Parts: sequence; C-alpha cells; structure tokens
Amino acid sequence: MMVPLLAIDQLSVGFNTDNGEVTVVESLSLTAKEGETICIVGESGSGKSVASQSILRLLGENGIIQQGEIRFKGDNLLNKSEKELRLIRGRDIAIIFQEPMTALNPVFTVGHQLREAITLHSKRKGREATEYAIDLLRQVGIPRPESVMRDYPHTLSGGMRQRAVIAMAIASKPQLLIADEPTTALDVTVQAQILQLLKGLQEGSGTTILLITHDLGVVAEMADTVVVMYAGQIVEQADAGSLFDRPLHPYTQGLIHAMPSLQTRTGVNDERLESIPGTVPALNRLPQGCRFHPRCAYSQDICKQSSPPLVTAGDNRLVRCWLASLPTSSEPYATSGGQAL
Amino acid sequence: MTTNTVIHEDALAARSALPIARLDNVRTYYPIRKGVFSRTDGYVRAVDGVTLNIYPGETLGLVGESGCGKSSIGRTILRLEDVHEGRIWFNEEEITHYSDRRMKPLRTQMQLIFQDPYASLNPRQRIGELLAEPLRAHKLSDSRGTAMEVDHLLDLVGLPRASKERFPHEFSGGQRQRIGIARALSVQPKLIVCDEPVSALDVSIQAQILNLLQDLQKELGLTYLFIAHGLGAVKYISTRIAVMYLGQIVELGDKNSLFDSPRHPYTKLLLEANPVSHPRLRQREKVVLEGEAPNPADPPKGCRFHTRCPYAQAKCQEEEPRLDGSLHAAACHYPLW
Repeated sequence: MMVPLLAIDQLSVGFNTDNGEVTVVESLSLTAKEGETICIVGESGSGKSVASQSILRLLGENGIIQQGEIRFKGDNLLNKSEKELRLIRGRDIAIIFQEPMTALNPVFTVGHQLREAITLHSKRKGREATEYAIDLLRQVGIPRPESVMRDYPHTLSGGMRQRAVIAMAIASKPQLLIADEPTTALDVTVQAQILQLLKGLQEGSGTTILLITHDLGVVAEMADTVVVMYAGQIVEQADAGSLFDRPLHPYTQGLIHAMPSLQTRTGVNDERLESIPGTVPALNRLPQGCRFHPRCAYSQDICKQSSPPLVTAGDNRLVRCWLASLPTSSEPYATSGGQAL
Repeated sequence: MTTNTVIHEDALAARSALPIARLDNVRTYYPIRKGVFSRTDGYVRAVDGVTLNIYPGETLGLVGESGCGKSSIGRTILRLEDVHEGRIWFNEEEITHYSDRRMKPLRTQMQLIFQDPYASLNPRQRIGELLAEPLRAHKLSDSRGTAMEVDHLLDLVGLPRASKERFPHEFSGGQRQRIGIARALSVQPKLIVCDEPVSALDVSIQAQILNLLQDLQKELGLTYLFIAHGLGAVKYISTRIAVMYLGQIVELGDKNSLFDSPRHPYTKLLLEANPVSHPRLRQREKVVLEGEAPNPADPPKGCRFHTRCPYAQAKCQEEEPRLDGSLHAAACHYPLW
C-alpha cells in the first residue's frame, strides 16, 4: 500500500491554562490521500483548528502534543527539529488563515512578501522571482497584478488579501494546503470566488487540501471526505455524499438540519428549524460519558456512563455513538434502513 | 405562474395595513475627513436614495454584501444616524428631524439587536441590572414591577431566572444573544432592527436564536427588519426581502418569489454564490459574480451594478434604473423576467 501524504495517528493535544492542562484534541486519527480535499467541520471549541495547527507545530508556547504521530509522506513531523520543520513549512505544507492580515506584514508591499516567499523556497532570484510573483497573482485572479505588487496589504480588500495570501501559499507548489476557515470573514460572493479558486488550483496541481470550517455549506461545496468534530473528538467521518445523505451521528444530523438552506422551500413562518438544544461544553468541564449526551435526543443510560468508541459503520465510515455500536438500537437511523453496522 | 399569485396575496395582505416605518428617498452620507482640520473630502454614500415601507407584523430581510449600506438603513430608521436627504416616518409620524429629546418616547417602540451582544452589555452589571435599566430609564415600572418584569423577560427568552444574579461573561454566545434580545424587549418595542443577530454564533445555536425570534414575533406581534449576509437565515425568517447594492435597493419582493425567481441579475448571482446544501448540488461550472463592489464614495454612473453585470448594455452605463412599482420590484433596465 502506498504511504498516504498525511497520516495523523492518535493525536492528543493539550493546552496549559491557569486551571491546569486541558486536552483540546483527543486521539485524533485521519489520513489524507494525494489530491483529496478533507474538511474538518465543527463548532467553536471542537478542536478543529488546533488539530490543523499541530501539523505545522503552530500551537504557541502553551500547546502540548500529548501523544500521537503526524506523518507526512511517512515521516513523523513531531520528531523534526524546529529547523527541519521550517524547511517543510511553506515548501511542502502551506497554511492559510481566516484573517489574511495575520500572514501579511503591514509594512512591506505585497510584491516584497511574495518575492520573499518565492526566493526562500526556490532558486528563482531577481527578475525571475518578480515575474513568477506577478504570474502567481494572476493565477489567483488578482486584476492588474503588476500594480498590486507595489501595494501595501492594508490597501487591499479582504478578498484580495486572501488571494495574495493564497498566492504566497502556492508559490512553492505545496503538496498539502491547510486552509483554516479561509472564507469565514468574506462575503458569500467573494467566498464563492475563493472556493472556486482553491478548486481550480487543486485541479491544476493535485494539491491535497485540509479545509477547516464551521460552515456545512463550504463542506458541501468542497469536501471529498468529511471529519466532524465535537468537543475535541472525531464523532463522525464519511465521504461527503454519504454524510449529507445519511448522517449517522445525532450531532451531525442536528447540524445538517439546523442549517437554513436556500434549496429547501419554506412557507411563511410555518416551519421551524431543528435546533440542537444547549451549548457546546467547555473543555475543562466535559460531561461524563458521551460528550454530546446532554444535548442528544437519543441519549440513553449507557451514554451518560461511558464514552463511546469510534467504530466503523459501513464503507469508509466512522461514527462515535453508542446507538451505532449497540445492534439493538436503530432509533437515530429510523429513516436510513438500519444498516449502521 | 403560481408563485406569482402567492406573492400577490401575501404582499397585498401586508400592504393593507399602514406601514410601521417608512423611508422616502432617504440618503445617509458619512463625511470623509482629511487633514489636520478634518476638512470634508467627499462622502461615503451609505444609503443613497432608498424608499421602503416596513409593515406591522412582517419580517423584512435586508441582504447584500458588506459595505452595501444595510446596517446604515437599520440605523437610519432608528434615527441613530442623521439623514442627508429624504424623509422618515414611524407610525405615520414624521421623525426625519426629531431631536434626541423628541425621539426618546419613541425609543421604547423601536429597538436594535446587535451581532455581538457582548459589546453592548456592561461587563460589570449583573443580568438583572442590565434588564432593569431600560425600564427605569423610560420610567416604565416601579421597583416591584421591575423585578417581576425581569423574570418575565428571562422566561420569554428561555433563560433561567437565576441568570439575573450573574454577569455577562458567565454566558455563552447564544445565551448572551438571548440577553441582548431580552434587553431589547424590556421596553415593549413594536419594531426591532436585528443587525446580523446570528452571524457570530455556532451553527447549532443559530437555529435556536432564529426560532426564538420567530416565536417572540408571534407571541408579541413584533415587526422585524432582519439584516444579514447569511442568505439561508434570511430566507428562513423573512416574509419579504430587500436586496441592496451600493446604497440602493435593487430588488424587493416576497421571499419565495425573490429566491425562486429573482429578477435582478445581482440577486441571481448573489443567490448562486451561496454554498449548496448537499454535495450532489455542486455545479461544475458555477457562474461566479466577478470582482467586488465598487467604492460607495464614488459609485459608477448609470446602473451601479453595470461594472459587474454579465448582461450590461450601453443604456446601463448611462441611465440609472429605478425600482419599478410592482409587488416584486427590481431596479434594472433589463430584468430577468
């Protein structure tokens, strides 16, 4: 079997807080194949961003990798020195964030920063680097790239800044692009442009994209594989089509039903959105048993007592729910033909 | 067309009542100041000639890209901004040039809910205090009545009564939005401007708040102006929708008609930009609205959308289209239908 591009194995990540160490990602495993788009979807506090930031060790000084491996092309990144990792960052693995200004230096022009990204990871110098920079800006759909080279980041709109950051990210043709809520701060119109840009770049280069989002719409547009996280754990994993057709975990079902969509026709004030009651638990005050059970409509005694394991449920599907593990119960899957196991 | 008959009935029913709020050709401009003497160097035309009626009991959704002026319309209706031109009525009373003192009694009838309720809640005040404050400011009840009213407000928005002893930071985002809503409700308003009330909330919480707003509307007979960039939420909660582009309303109609068969090219592209709800609905060659909205300080001549419109013709560059008077109105020389 071929070595997957990215394989995360039993990764747990914690943070030092005033009240001691808090685990924010627990025993997370996932693999990404070449050219695939994996979406990690979850709400605030689900651990989705922390999981992605651990790949490049961008956790800050309070972050602690408690256990696990992150293998990139078979090599465990957690064993790399900071120096070795710096070579990988930006060259083999690039990351873009929700707020592009965090990646841009306000006192240098776009051109300066883009050329820096190019010369750092390739042999291109001088004129050649400049021309490549202009070419990259053109690839990401920035109009008048020559003049934007001389612009400072703050003079650009949010969408243009995100394009500039994507240009920097793809400068060295990374094999893995981590995009952490890349369109959350943008208008839907600009979001559509950026998502289309990412898809186009992926088709051209075969880059694997790990996309972190809270927005199921973005998942529906982009994902090949979806990983749903809740309170630091993976609760469900499936290919995008199956997940939306037949979500297995009550949390995923709730999320999908809570999403007001344009495709469903609604009458005037006569329908209600299904909502998930309660709130996401704080990670230092997790409920006993299944972390979702206080909000779950199907909760049973076992859910309150012990934490369910992540089990396989059909082809390439995983779910963390007692109701999927116990053959007697098929309640949440009443509509699905009961083929959970 | 069957959808059209539906629109007519709904819209006609709404229009049989007198509007609760009315804007007539309203312009709200913000001066651009420059230099040490703050010389005015042009204007951002946030709201630029908007005529709009809001009818009692309806939810009018206001959508558009950031910077299109949708929040400014909300603030203008509440007279939180001074108008440059045009007239505003609230319950048939013209309030265009009312002073703060004259506005004060009307303030109890119109309230605002923000995107981030945390920013509008004093962190040092307990929830009970926060909710009692507007009642006292408007002399709406004595101290015993106030205590009962606070309990009633907490019941209304689905928070435990014990919340009144706690501070804002002890609550989650969704709970804080409930507090923001309770505070807005405390003065028993008729009209509430909801400015992106669910945009900052987690998906699972958004639905709770949307349902709450809808329940409160039924229970208390509220009228909402619901401002949001999330089209799904707007479609869910609204009766009619107004689409804004660069300070103007470009389309206005019943929500199903507007979402099912938009007339303005901008509306169509805005709807298409919204992500799909199922991977099966992905479009291989999605038509994407190109570019970004121009600078509202210097809007394009003619139709403001012509610089991005795939259907623009010569006339669009010259002549400014006006919102036609039909029940599903569009401001376009060449509407899609």
